[in-house]
Amino acid sequence: MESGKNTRKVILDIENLSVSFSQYDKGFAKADLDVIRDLNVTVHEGEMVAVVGSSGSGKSLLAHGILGILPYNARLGGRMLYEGEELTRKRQEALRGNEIVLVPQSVAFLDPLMKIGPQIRKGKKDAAAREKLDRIFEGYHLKKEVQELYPFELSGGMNRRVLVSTAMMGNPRLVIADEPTPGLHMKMVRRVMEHFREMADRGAGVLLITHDLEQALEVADRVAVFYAGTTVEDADVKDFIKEETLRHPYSRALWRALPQNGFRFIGGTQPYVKDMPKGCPFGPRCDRYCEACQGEIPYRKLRGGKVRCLYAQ
Amino acid sequence: MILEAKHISFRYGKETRQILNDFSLKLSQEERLGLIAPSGFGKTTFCKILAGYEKPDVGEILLDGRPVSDYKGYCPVQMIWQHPEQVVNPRLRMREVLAEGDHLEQRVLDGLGIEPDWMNRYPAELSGGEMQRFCIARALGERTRFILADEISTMLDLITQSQIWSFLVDEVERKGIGLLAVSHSMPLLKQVCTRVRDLEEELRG
Repeated sequence: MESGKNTRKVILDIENLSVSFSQYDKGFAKADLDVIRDLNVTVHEGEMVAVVGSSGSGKSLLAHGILGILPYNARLGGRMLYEGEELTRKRQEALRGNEIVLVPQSVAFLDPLMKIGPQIRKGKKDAAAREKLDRIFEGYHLKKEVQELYPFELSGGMNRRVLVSTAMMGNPRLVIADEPTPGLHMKMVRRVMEHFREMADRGAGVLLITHDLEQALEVADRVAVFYAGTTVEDADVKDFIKEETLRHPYSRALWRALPQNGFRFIGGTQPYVKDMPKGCPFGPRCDRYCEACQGEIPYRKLRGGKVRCLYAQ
Repeated sequence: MILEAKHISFRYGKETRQILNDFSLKLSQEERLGLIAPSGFGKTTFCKILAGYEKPDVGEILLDGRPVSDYKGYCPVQMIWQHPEQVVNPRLRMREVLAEGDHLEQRVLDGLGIEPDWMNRYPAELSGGEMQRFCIARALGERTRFILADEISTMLDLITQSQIWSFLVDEVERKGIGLLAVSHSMPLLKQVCTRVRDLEEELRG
């Protein structure tokens, strides 16, 4: 994990992304649900960036937003740049599955009517594709017979390994892994993570979306801390060694809650989308909450990282 | 009370892999036992057998020397699952989900940080952490004597994990409930348990 990222090319740059859904509330009244409000993340080539947030914080929508596969009632705001150019719908369609690949969160993303082998090879039948898939499957302890099965015939752990294999088939520039490891054993988690790491070391950008901070700290170069629809901090993994080098009060609270760092906790829960506070989403749980925190809070540079807090120093 | 698993062996169906193989374990009401086991050992299956959801092929589960299956009505051994969204009825409001428990105390709901407003929501309107709080409350009924916690905080963020465990440890101590905690994280088990069994080491010899 070397730094010097400033000289590297930016592959993905996401600025103040917002995602909202229009929903029918009561009767015919429509309500807008702002699930993501301000998401910022940058991925350089050769870099593995983890977006860490708890379940229900809306982080999967980031992956779907980048690929242009959000449901029809979703509205996007903010800016997404891929290789320096706006990521338009047309580009998304051309790039996804080729330069940009997704390792999805659930097996519901597989075609239930297509056998595993042809599905992962994307219909390619040539010897090279077959051989490559055989090799990838071998690495994940998947027998050759698995290629002849349909998704419903696999166990949870096998399905998970099949999903990860999809990303290894091509030569992607950007890999988006959305919670790729729940339900896998620690050994397999390590292997999967090592593979993502290798892809980054060969020059791809890897965006790991996870709730597991400990896992992210093991493999990633940088961590974007995501809280209730907002990126609150962008930090180098090294910043997580000590509490003092972290910038946002939420990141520090996360740090203190690690079992090996004291297992201490703060009160309250992450707000539900419908009762989101104004301004800083962490405000109601923060010691330094005041009126100014209810206004707009800029995402600013601080000590080599970034933070969305008025008081961080 | 003593909860005892004696020489448990189990497999799902005839043609499948042997999951548990002659496994024994003893747990008293005063202790919190942590369990770390290798992949494919059958941790969840073992919890399901202890709680009476599955019958072992060989061996027995005894509660104070009597088979657990002899206890009629409310089961004194209650399990909390890894994925809360899979163990609540999606069509029930959370108030009704809690009604499945056994004389729950308001104190427990308050201690778990369950807000009154959440009661009227459906499971889909809660986050994983919020829902897991309900599942823990539901398991902490009046007649519960043992709690089996199967990776209950893997899906949660660290702060919620710490909140929930701190409450659960206090509560089982206060009520004299025995606890079995299954996790892959040794630092976590060291924080919450009085004793840890590392089966990866035991099996290596």
